[in-house]
Amino acid sequence: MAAGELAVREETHAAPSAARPDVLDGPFTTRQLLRIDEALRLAERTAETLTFSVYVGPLHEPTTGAARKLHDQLPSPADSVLIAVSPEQRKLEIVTGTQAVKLIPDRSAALAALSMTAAFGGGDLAGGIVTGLRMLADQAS
Amino acid sequence: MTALEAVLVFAGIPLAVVLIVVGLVYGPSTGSKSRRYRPGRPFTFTPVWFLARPEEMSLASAGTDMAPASVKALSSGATAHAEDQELTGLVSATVKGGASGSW
Repeated sequence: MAAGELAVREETHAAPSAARPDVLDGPFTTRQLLRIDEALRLAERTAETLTFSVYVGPLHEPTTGAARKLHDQLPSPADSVLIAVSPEQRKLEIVTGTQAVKLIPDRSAALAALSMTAAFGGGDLAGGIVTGLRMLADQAS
Repeated sequence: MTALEAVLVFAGIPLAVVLIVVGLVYGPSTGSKSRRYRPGRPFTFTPVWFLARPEEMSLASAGTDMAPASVKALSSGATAHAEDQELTGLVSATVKGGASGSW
């Protein structure tokens, strides 16, 4: 973990501020970033009441607790869905808030997690994230 | 065709071709840092967090300044104190759903 830096990629391109170079140090190419951007935007539009968020980086053990901590840092955790991927530990955590869990039951989240891990196992991080976002958003719509 | 010419044509040219191919394969690659995750290899990239609606985030977390807090939480994660926090986060978290997976 590079000194605990955290690059927050903003979906709106209004402020290509200092966060831009950081996100370019991430595991994604520009094309993959655009794909994830589009998937996030589409997910927001499909599931209007929910907010989706994707974290890719190390998680502390236990990973479920770490992912929930991250989820708590979101502005409205109840309506938020966090997809936390730790490629180093080969772990994926999907955390849904108290309101979001009504739209996305755990069984559907598990199904999305299954297809995401299948893509991650082949080394396709961006593809797995896009697939997962699409499945979760479809479920919530 | 003298002996020297024959050697140049039949040994020199294939050798040159072989050297060019070897140079292309093992030479300095332009994109030296591969931007690709490979399962099982160490993951040395900067952590990224994609937020869908940052303008609402900044509104909701006005005053608390969300990004530095998250950086702090992540960077101090290696300490035992933060690990305790993670553990309590697991225990005291409000009712949440979700799923886990590994590959």
